Amino acid sequence: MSTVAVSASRKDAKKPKRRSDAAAGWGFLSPWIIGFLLFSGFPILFSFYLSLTKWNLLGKPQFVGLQNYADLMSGDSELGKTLLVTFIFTIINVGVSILFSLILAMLLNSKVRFKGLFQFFYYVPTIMPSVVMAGCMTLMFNPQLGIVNYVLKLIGVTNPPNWTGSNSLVWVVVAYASVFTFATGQQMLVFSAALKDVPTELYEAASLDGANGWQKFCHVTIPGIAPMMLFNVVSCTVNSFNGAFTLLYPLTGGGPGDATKVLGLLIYDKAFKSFNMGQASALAVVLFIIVAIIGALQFKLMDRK
Amino acid sequence: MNVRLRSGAKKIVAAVAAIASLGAMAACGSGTASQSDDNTLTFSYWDTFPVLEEFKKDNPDIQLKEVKVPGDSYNTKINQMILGNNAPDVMLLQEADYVRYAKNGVIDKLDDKLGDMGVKTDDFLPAIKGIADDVDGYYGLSQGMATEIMYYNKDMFDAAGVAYPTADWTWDDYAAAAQKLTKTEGGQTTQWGSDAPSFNGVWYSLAGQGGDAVVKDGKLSLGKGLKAALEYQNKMTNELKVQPAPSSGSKVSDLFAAGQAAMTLGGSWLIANTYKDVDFNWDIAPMPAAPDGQDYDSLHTSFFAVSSSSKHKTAAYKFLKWMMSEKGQVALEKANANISPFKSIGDKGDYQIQGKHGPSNWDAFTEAAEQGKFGYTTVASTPTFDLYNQINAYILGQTSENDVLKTAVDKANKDIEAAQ
Amino acid sequence: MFKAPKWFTVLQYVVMIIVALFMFFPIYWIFCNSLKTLTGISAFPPQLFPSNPQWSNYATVLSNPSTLLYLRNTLILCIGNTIGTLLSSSIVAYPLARMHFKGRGVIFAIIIATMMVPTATLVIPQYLLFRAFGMLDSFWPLILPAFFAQPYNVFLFRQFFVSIPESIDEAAMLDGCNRWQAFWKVIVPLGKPIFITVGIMSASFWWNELFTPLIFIDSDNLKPLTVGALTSFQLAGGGNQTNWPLQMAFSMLMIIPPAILYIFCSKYITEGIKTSGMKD
Repeated sequence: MSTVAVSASRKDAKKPKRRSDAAAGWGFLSPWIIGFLLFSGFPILFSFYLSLTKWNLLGKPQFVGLQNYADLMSGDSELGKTLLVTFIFTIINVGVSILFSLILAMLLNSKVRFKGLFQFFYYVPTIMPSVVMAGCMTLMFNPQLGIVNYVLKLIGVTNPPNWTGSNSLVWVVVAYASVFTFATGQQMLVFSAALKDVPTELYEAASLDGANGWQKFCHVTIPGIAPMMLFNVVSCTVNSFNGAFTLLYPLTGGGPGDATKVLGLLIYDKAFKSFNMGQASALAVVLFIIVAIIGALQFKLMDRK
Repeated sequence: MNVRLRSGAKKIVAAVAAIASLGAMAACGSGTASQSDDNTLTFSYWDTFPVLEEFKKDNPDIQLKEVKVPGDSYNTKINQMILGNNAPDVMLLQEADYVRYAKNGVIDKLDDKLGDMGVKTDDFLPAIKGIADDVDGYYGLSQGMATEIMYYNKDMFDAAGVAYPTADWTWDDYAAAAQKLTKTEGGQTTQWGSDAPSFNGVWYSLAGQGGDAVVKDGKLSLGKGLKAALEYQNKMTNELKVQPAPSSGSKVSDLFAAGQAAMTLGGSWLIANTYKDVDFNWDIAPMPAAPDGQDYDSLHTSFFAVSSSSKHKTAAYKFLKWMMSEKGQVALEKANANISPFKSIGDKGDYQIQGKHGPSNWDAFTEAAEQGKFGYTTVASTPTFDLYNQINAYILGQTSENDVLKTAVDKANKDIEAAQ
Repeated sequence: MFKAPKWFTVLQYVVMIIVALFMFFPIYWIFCNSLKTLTGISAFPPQLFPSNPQWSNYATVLSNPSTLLYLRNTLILCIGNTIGTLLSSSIVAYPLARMHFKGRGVIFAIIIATMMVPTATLVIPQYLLFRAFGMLDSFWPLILPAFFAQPYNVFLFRQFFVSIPESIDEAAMLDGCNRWQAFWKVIVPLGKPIFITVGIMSASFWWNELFTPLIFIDSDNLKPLTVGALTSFQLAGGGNQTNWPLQMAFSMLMIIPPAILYIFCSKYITEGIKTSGMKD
C-alpha cells in the first residue's frame, strides 16, 4: 500500500522536479561557470590569441600570425630541449614519487608496533614547503662543503662530483628532492589505504601455494592495488606539471645552464623576465596541448580498467 | 534562484566587459596620477638597504613600504611592476634601466627639483655628469660609486711565504700565487688559492682586461677578451685546481670570508658588509691585468628615481632629499663603502670603512674607481645575467667554449636588442 | 596465520628505522644548520651536531617584524582560499552528484578536463586580467579564484557526495526542503570529513605555494612565508648569497605548523584520500 503511494507520488512529482532540478542545478553550478569563464576558459582562449601576437605589455599586441610558432620550430629555439627536459623531469618526479610512496606504504603495512610514530616520520618530511626543502638540498649537495660529498669521501670516493653543476647529476638531486614532495606523502597514504584493502586470504592462499615474498608482491599486491596505482599516476603527473616550478625554481633555477629548465620555468622567463608575451603564450599553448594529450591517454587507460 | 542567476549573469557581463577592455587598458601604461600625498612611500631595492633605518628615524611621518628583491631577479621584478602599472614610488635603478626608463618616460625628470633638494650638480663626479649628458638631464640621483677589486688574506700569504699582490700583478702572477696558496690533504682541498668569481660583473671586467670593448654601440662586444678570460678561469678551476667550481643557483658560502680561500675578486661593497667582520688580516689590491690585455674595471652606480606614475611625489622628493643630504650620503658611504657622487663628500673619505683586520690599501680602491668605466651595466641586465649562467656552465664543463662565445653572446645581444 | 620468525621481525624494525632516518634527515639537517653560525655553515667537514648551538638565530628570526608579517600573509592566503574553495567547490559538486538535468555530464567532463590544466598555461592571461582590474600586488589574484570552485576539489566533493545514499536528501525534500536546504542542512553536515580533508589540502597547498605569489605580489608587507624565505635572507654583496643559519631557522619554523596539522588531522587526510580514489 505504502509503496504504491510513494511510487505514485514520485510519478506525479517527476515532471516539475525535473524542471526545478535544471534551474537549481545551473544555479548551484554558477560559481564554477563564472570561475571557468574568468580563470580558465577565457585564459586558454586568450592564450591562443596572444600566441599569434608580438607584445611586450607596452602598447597593443601586434598580430603576427603563426610567427611565434615558426620561431619555436626553427633550429635554434629552446623548445626541443625544454620539451626533453620537461619529459625527463616528469618521468623522474612521477617515478620517484610513486616508487617511494609504494615502499613507504608497504613498510607501514607490515605488522610492527609504533606504526603511528613511523607514519609521522615518513609523512612529515613530505609536507615541508619546497622552498625550505630546496634550501636544505642546496646545503646538502654543495660540492665543497655539503654533507653528501663528505659522506662520499668517508666511504672512499676521492673525487666526489659537483651535483648541481653537472647536466646529468643534477637529476640525481631532483630525484632526491622528489622524494620529499607533497605528492609522495599523499600517494603513500593512498597506497597504504589500498594495501589494507587487499584481502589477507589472498596472501594466505599464496603462502599455501608456496609463493615467496616477491611472488606475492607481483601476483597479489600489485593486482590488488592496480586501480589505485593508475589513479596515483594520473594525479602525480598532474601534480608534477603544476609542481615543477615550485620545486625547481628555488632548487636549481633551471640550471646548470638550461639543463633543468622545464617548460613552466621557460614560460615564466619568457613572460615575466623578457616580457615576450607572444612567445610565452605560444609555449603555454604547447604545454596545454601536451597535457591535453596525456590527459586523454590516461583517461582512456582508466576507462579500460 | 532567479535573483541568483541574474546577479551571476551581471557578473558575467561585467567580466566580459573587463576582458574586452583589456587590450585598451593595457595601452595606457602610466595613467595620469592624481596627487594624493598621504605620506606613504614605496621604495624598491635589492638584497639589503640598511640606511632605511636611519631614514625612518628622521622621518617618522613617512610610512615606508619596502619592495625587497634578491639581486639576481631585481631588475626583472621592477620591470614587471612597471609594466603592471604598479611601479614603486622610488626605485633604486641600475645604469641600463635608469637610462632606458629615463628615455621611455617611466621616471620623472628632476632638474627643476634639484634646487629644493639642495643638490649641486657641479659637485657631481664626471662619470655622473656624463650619464646626465647622455640622457639630457637628471632623472635620478646616484647613491654612490662602486667598483671591482681584488681581496687577499694576509695571514695565508704570510703563512705560505708569498709576497703580497702589487699593482702590476698579471693574471699569471695571480695564478702562480694561487698555486702556492692552495693546500690539499689526501686529495681534499683544505684551502683554495682563489675563490670562484661569485659576482657576475667580475666576468665582464675579466673580458675587458683580456682586450674586449665589453660594450659598444649599446651591445655587448665580447670576443678574444672573453675567450682569454674563459681559458684563464678554466685553467684555474679545472687544470691547476686552485679555485673551486662555480655553483649554479644560490651559493652556499663565501669561501674568502669563511677563511678557506686566499684571494677573490669582487665588488668594492664587500669591504663594508661581508668582509668587514672577518677574523683574519686582509687587504685589497687592484685587479690583476691580463698578460697582453688592457686595464679594465667596471664602474658601478645606481640611481634613486621617482616613478612618473607615483601618487606620493611629495614624500618621494623628501626621500631623495634625505638620501642626497650630507647625512644620507655619509650613511650610504658607510653602509656600502660607496664613494659619494658628490666630490666634496667623497673626498672626506667616509666610505673608507675600516674593519677589524683590514683593509689599508685604500689607494687601490680610489684608483680603481677613478679608472673604472661604466661597462656591461649600461646594457639590459637580464641577458647579461643569463650569459653569466652560460659562462658558469662552461667552467663546469657542461657547454663548449664556442657555444659561449658564439651562441650565448649572440643570444644575449638579441635579447638586449629586444629589451630596448 | 603466517608467523614471522624473530630475525625477520628484527630486520623489519631495522629497515623501518633506517628509512625513517633517511626520510627525516633533511629536517634534522635544517634544524642542525639553524643552530650554526655563518662560518659554521662553511666548515668542512660539516658538523653533525653543532658544537655551540646558536639558539639566538631563532630569536633573531622571530624578533624580525617581517617574519610575523609574512606569517600573517600566509595565514590570510590559507584561510581565504580554504573558505573560498570549501564553499564554492562543495556547492558546485552537489548538483554533479545528485541532480539530473541535461548538460550535467558535459559539465562534469569539462571539470575533469580542466583539473589537469597546469597553472603555467593560465598565468599569463590571469596576470593580464588582474592587471586590467588593477589588482596586482594585492591578495585578490591569489584568493578570488578560490571562490569560483576549483576542479580538483569539486571532483573530491562530488565523489564523496555520491557515496551518501540518495534516499537521505530525498527524505529531506519530501519533508519540504528545497534543493538548497537539502544541501545545506543534510549534505553539508554529513560531508564533514570531506570538508576537513579538502580544507587541510587547501591550507597545506597555500602554506607551500610559491609560483603565483612570486608573480602577483611585490611589496614586502604582502609576501607570504615562501617568498619571504627566498628573499629575506640575502646577504649584501651581489654574490647571490644567503644567510643560511637564519634561513634555516626560518625554515624550521615553517615546518612546524604542517607537522602539527598532521598530528591532529592525519585521520581525515587518509579518509579523504580514500574518497578521491573511489571509483564512480
